[in-house]
Amino acid sequence: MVTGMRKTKHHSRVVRLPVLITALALAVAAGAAAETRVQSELDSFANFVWTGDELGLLGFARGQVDFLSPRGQPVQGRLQLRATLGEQLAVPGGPAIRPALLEVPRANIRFRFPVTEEYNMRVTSGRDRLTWGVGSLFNAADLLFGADGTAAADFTEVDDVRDETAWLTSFYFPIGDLSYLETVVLPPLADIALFTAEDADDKDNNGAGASIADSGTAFDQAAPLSQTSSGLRLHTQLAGITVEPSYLWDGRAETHNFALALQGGLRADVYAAGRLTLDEDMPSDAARVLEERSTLSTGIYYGFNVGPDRTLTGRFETLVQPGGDWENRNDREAEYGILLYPELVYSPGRTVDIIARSVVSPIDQSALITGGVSWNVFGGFRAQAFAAVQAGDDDAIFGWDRPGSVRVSTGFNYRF
Amino acid sequence: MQYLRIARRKAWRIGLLVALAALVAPSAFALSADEIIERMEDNQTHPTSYIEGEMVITDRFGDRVSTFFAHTEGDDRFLVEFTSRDEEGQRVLRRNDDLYLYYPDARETIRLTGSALRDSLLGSDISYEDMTGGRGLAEDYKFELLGEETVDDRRCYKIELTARGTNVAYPKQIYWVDSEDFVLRKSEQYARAGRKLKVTEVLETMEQDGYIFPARIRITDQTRRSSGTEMILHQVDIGVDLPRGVFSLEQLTW
Repeated sequence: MVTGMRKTKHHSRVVRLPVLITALALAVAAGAAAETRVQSELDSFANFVWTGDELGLLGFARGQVDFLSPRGQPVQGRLQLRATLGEQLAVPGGPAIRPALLEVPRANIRFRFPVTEEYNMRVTSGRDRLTWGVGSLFNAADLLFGADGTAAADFTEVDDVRDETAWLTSFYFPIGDLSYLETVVLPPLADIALFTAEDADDKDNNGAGASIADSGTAFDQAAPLSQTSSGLRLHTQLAGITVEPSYLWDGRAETHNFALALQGGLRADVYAAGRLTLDEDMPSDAARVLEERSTLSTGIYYGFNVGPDRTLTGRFETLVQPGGDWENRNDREAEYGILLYPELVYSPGRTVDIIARSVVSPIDQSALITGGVSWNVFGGFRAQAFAAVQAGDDDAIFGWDRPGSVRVSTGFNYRF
Repeated sequence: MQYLRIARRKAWRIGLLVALAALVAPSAFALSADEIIERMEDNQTHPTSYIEGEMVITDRFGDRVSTFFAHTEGDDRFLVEFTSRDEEGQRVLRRNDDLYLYYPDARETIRLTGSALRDSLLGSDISYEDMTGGRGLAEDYKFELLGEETVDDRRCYKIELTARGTNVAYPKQIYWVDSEDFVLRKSEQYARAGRKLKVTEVLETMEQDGYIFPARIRITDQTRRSSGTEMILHQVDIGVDLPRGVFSLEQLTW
């Protein structure tokens, strides 16, 4: 796949290979004995990558196994294990991917807790995903994973391009049938993502990719409790519009984050979100606070038939940071005030999707452009071909002449 | 789903109709279109149900099967959960005219609005919009009895439905309602310009718990080069006790 590791999880906690294998074996055994549901997914891709000097070829294979507890129980569990083999280049700013890695993107327990005879609250504990706010790539109300999902996005996915997960504990309180209050606590677990084959022999590696055993004791990895993040959101409907105010205290950045997401529409689906980040160093002038500490995202989605058996859906999102740079700084690391995300999906039949997506930085006139075809040949089996091109000057966010600026990926995906 | 609740009828009513057919035939023929639709809707309405079934989508590469189970209440509340591998855990909740989708991987709930309602359900011939409506047709449509025709050897009333406004999926529909048991046997949906959009055919019916209802339906989107989507019901329990709060966002996201 073209645009970085698929559904990259850059906050995975280290799990050593033997532990993973043991867990896998135990889970398989448990699955055989009980009604555990098992789902598997395999990817096999060939990636042609421009290295900066020449065209290179990279193999990429990935296997993922999901173990899910039986349905209809008051307690649910899910363990997702993922093994990736082969080199894969990430998008600019994204996490580097090692030649081989094992991850635990999801490992969580959910249960309903009866508060009264008529009322249950719900608890989720472990590693999981929560989607706050609305937005495919840009979502200012996503206080947990960030407003800009470009770095971790997988633009070859037909549906969701973002799939970050995190360690968390959440409490879900229903308010009537169509509203709820959700609180979340994110413990300050170490930002160690990967266990790789290289790490096993790399005793000096204390950064991303190091295992606990390699770097001393688990206590060395412990982050101060003060870095715990916590927050809440209210999800409700008012006059036909979905309204979601939320708040998060970010223990690491020591910031208060307030957000509001709205979703509604008549013919088109329209959504918008705004975020305000406050801290001790914020300006005293309210106007400057709004200008420097706010983030806005908007989106519109529309689909229509363009002929027999043919549909076209379009999505257009914007991410605006008033306090960002509004002039070209000629800097690859610049944080510009506006980014755009247009997306078109043309389906000339029920099994084929032709996808075109782009992240556009209009201020430095650069873009990451992804296009490709996903063909659902049989149930669960897909053939895919994607290409990604960075267009822009050498000092722009996206640029032609840099490693990975042109990538072509072809291969297969099978779920069973 | 609307098509899952089409044309249900208590058995004693059918027995009564059959027994008295000869006597009541003259008055039956005198039924107005409104009365026929009302009887058909009476068949469609029951308090609660639990359904297990599958949706078979056919194209030139073969069949794709999506399995599901659902809880329903009346005409306007249901919760469907897909159990097949590709869609495992995806759910659709209908509350009145609102539809909500749940994607388990993202733990994300989406309320469908606007054009998104016209999206296809899992690539089938069924749109999300088809899953709304179904309540009180008389509120949204005017009826006209066009005559009688035979559908699969069943004598049916042919009725044209014309939308009273623009807030419906189909400006015009034609129903073929069985003249004996008032089960909907076939329907066609049309665009405003008169183009045929969809055809629904009842291939098999099932009688259970005093109700007669379609057990195998083929829906064909006429705007696609489609072989159609078949909806097959394997288990239907009527009048079940529903789990508490089953038609809520909490249950949708569980």
